[in-house]
Amino acid sequence: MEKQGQGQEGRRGECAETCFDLLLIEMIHLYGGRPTQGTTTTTTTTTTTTTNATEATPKANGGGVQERRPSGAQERGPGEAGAGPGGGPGDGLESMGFQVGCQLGERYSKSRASFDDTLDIVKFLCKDFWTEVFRKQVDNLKTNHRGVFVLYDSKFRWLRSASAGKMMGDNASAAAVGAGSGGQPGQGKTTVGDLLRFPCGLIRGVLFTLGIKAVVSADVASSLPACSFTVKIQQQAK
Amino acid sequence: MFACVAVVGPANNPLFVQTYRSDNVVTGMQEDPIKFHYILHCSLDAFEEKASANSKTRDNKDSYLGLLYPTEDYKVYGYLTSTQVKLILVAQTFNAQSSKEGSVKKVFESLHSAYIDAVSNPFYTPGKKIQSKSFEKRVDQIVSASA
Repeated sequence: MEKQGQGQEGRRGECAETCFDLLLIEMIHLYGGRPTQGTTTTTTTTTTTTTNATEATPKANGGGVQERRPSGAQERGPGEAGAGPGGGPGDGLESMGFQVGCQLGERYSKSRASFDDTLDIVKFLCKDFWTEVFRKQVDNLKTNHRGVFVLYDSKFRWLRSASAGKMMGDNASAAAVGAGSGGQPGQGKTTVGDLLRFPCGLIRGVLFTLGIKAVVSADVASSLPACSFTVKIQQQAK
Repeated sequence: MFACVAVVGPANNPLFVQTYRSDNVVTGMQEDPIKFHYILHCSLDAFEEKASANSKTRDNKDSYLGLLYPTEDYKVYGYLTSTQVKLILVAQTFNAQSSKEGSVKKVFESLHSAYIDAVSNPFYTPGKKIQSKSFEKRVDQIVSASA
């Protein structure tokens, strides 16, 4: 009985995850691989339909991002200031991730009363938050004690079904993207870097709600499901 | 019975202020909502004091800060979330027995949940006032349930 229940639960989870994978691909398709003027009204309507379909899931926030664009730009760190409103391709994805991160950060830190310092917040991100979102903890956390943290995940869930083959194409170097660096994705091609834009924004959003301004960039140097996020802290929590 | 509920953002910006009809104990007249704004403003200093005192004693890690300060007619309670959002409740003192510490904490916890749900709305702009009918309704329910 119990086993069957678990099996059902697992299957349901798998279904939800597959849906999310597909949604992420669609999001990248709409926001990621396009030039600047890509985020027009047509994309808005499409996203809003998705919003209605997936109510109350974190991914359902695409519709709101359009309205929020100007204020989102204000919140950005100096590294991104150059991009300007509507910035480079993939900008929308990052700010979408940021908004979702803000909301999830608020929600998952509910049971925590207060954080001691930055390290405490990053630990919360690696343990509690990662478990809530990716069902596992970060495998390795490195820091130079001067505001740079490297989070290494050997099986990053959202890269499960990504392959390093053709998809990356000649643009293997473009896999290193950042909130600040604004790496150019291959025109018309989805890179692993595009897949990681949303999670970059997600991490930045969580840290932002907890009082840290940071720039997050992602790297897939080694074999694929593994990836590392570099968090550069710009302004510490009080 | 609570006379006022307020949510104040990390930069001490008011996000939500709701006052409920309350009559002055002495004069029997209805209280001016502005007075509550004054009380809330004063309570922000008390917040900082309490929060810094709490962070020094490492064992006391609770969002609920308890009674911030009593005024002549009201008691002000505070709750500080991990994201530095301040929730404030102003309670009338004359029926102080009814508002036990534990029940105030419960009210804060349900307010916190309501706040999280309100800011999770994709159409809400962070840092702006919460103008949501459903949030208002929920706060009303929480307050009337605690009365």
